[in-house]
Amino acid sequence: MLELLLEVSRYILENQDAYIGEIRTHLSISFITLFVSCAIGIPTGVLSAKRESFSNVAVNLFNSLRMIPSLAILMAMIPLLGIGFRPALIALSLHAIPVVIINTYAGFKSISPVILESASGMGLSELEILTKIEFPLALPLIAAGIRTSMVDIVASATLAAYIGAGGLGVFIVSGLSFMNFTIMMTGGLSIAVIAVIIDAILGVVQKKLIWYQNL
Amino acid sequence: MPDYVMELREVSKKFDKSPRFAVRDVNLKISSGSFMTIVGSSGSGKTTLLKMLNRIYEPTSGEIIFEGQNVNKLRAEDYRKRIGYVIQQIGLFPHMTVMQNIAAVPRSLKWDRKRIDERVDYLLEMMHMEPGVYRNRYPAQLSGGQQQRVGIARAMAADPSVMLMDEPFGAIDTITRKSLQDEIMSIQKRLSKTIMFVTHDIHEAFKLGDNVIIMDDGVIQQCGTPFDTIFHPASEYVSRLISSENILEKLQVLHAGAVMEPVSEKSNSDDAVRVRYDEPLSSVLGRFVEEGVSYVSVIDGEGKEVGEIWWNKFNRISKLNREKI
Ligand SMILES: Nc1ncnc2c1ncn2[C@@H]1O[C@H](COP(=O)(O)OP(=O)(O)O)[C@@H](O)[C@H]1O
Ligand SMILES: [Mg+2]
Repeated sequence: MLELLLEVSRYILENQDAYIGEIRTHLSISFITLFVSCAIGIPTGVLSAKRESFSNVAVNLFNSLRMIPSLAILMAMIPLLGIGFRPALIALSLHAIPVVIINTYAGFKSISPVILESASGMGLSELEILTKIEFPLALPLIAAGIRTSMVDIVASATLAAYIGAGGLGVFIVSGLSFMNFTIMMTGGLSIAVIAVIIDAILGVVQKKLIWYQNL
Repeated sequence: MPDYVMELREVSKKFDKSPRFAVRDVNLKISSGSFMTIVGSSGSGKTTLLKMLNRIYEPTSGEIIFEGQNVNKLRAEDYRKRIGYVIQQIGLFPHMTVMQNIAAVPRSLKWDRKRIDERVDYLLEMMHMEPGVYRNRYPAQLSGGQQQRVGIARAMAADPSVMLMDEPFGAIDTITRKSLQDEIMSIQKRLSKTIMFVTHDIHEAFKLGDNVIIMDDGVIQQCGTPFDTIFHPASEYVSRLISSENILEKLQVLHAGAVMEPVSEKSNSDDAVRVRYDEPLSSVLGRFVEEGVSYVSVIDGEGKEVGEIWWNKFNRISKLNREKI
């Protein structure tokens, strides 16, 4: 085990530039995917919570998309969008969006109707209620969704390498083709470490968001 | 200024899913500065009536007039800001401090910072909560009674002319409830707010209201002073409701202010026996017996003389009561 770690470190030092480059690519794919997933998932989740008819359609649609394995979506993208960054982004987002929607939906539904009644009863506008009451109160659950999907995205972004979008998956792909265990583990361990670090950071943020529940 | 701050004309409400009317043919004129209590058993339509007054529910038919204008002509948000609304479950915003909760409507009305701060402190002091101690607390750091005080302060933040209160003290322990009742009475007198106060507690309804509305099955059975309601019940339902209490209990729920004859000028001599306007009639009766006087002078919270009660009032009360039996 120790030997393996030493070999991985040696490999990283010898290929520093390539390694840092792929980390950068991996992180940018992940963060852009997260951004797109939130930009689509949060408004869809809010709408679903507010309009029950809409929620059935949206949640079912995205959930069935989620059933298709990411790799299959990735491959399906090739004839449509070719290879590279864009198809990877779309495939990963389709995978992450349902989690964001469902958590946003749950966050809004968790708000006590009494709070909403007193807010509208005192004459706050719908926009004020959304921004000052509902959103802050739903935020802890929305953040939980973001945390779950971010860890998921970081792990799944490995697959981007299969369609030429780069990222740490590149080491796994080439390690597999050369049957080189060290190169494979360089990719695998790095992804795991990044996922754990991001999870920990988002965990701290999430704790900060639920402070008022622990008073 | 119109005579009535609010007027309901033939207001009815039927919910879509329900075959029955939740509120039926309600006609009501609410004078400015009156304290009206609405009492009735659970499901009698009290909350529905109050929610129509706040436009949370739209009446199925009839109209609601506020300060001379049909409420449908006003924007719901603007109208609601002129009406205070307090509910039993309080509904404070858990992620906001006491200060932010109370400031919700003033902020929405774009008051300036200084005016909001002063208003919040004033209201906290009025509710007997030290601003320095409580301003920055969160709702979860307050007792139930303190939360409801903040709920009342929040509803009064933008100085509404009418307050709607739906069983505001229903979930509060007896001792705190009594002090909240006393406070809301004295605030109402001092600021001459119009209050519509829903309760299912007859005792509370008679203690607080200068007019009591008795509801059953969506219909107003009687609307009158506590005295009239107790001694001239308008329907079988009201007499049954009232007869659950004996004469001494009735005298306990009637307060001096409800039966006094108002005086505008100071007319009685300084050594007249004085009772407070909120003293129950049972204790006023005690004073008559102790002091052997023919009248007592009624004073308000500040000690100013506001009315008088003559001994023969009690003769009439006991006669009426005997006729009922
Ligand atoms: N939102 C609603 N939808 C359908 N029926 C309702 C609704 N709110 C109240 N009701 C019905 O209207 C009647 C009066 O209820 P409510 O006004 O809450 O009574 P109270 O406040 O006196 O207990 C009840 O029969 C109740 O079931
Ligand atoms: Mg009710």
